[in-house]
Amino acid sequence: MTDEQPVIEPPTAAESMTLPLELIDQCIGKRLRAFLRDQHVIEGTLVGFDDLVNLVLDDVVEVGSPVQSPPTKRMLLSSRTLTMLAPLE
Amino acid sequence: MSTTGESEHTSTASGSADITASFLSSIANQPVNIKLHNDFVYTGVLSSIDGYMNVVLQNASEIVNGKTMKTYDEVFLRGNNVIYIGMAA
Repeated sequence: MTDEQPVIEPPTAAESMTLPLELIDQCIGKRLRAFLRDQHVIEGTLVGFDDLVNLVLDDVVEVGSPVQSPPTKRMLLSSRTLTMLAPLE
Repeated sequence: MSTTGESEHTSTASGSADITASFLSSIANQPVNIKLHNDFVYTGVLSSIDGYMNVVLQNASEIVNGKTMKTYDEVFLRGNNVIYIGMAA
């Protein structure tokens, strides 16, 4: 009887690859900053997004805005000028 | 609530693909703040919206640098100019 070692296959390229939208999916429920093309920075808790990466955010504040306004309870942020998403915490 | 045009969903990893559409229907006839790329904010009652984020507001005020500049009984905002649509407090 030969002692057979259980063979652990390394993940194939397809299995180990994280899709971009999966990465955003992992941020749902987390606080993040969305950087837009024209230097707007929007911070909020990610509720969800669609295929175009339009975002639904909760408790949103505009970072660095000269006009201070109370947080927006919930908003839809257009993906048209979205450049980067950075999770906080 | 019609979501035309961009709302074709090819399958992706996201389990939240409908959240943007359901947010849009949830804010119909509610007071909203809409920010455009020229940094104007329009506050009014959302009477209609489509999948391009084209919007019709009733009793809208145009806010520039935190000051109300003009008011409109009814105003159409073309969706490509919209940065965000937020629930007004």
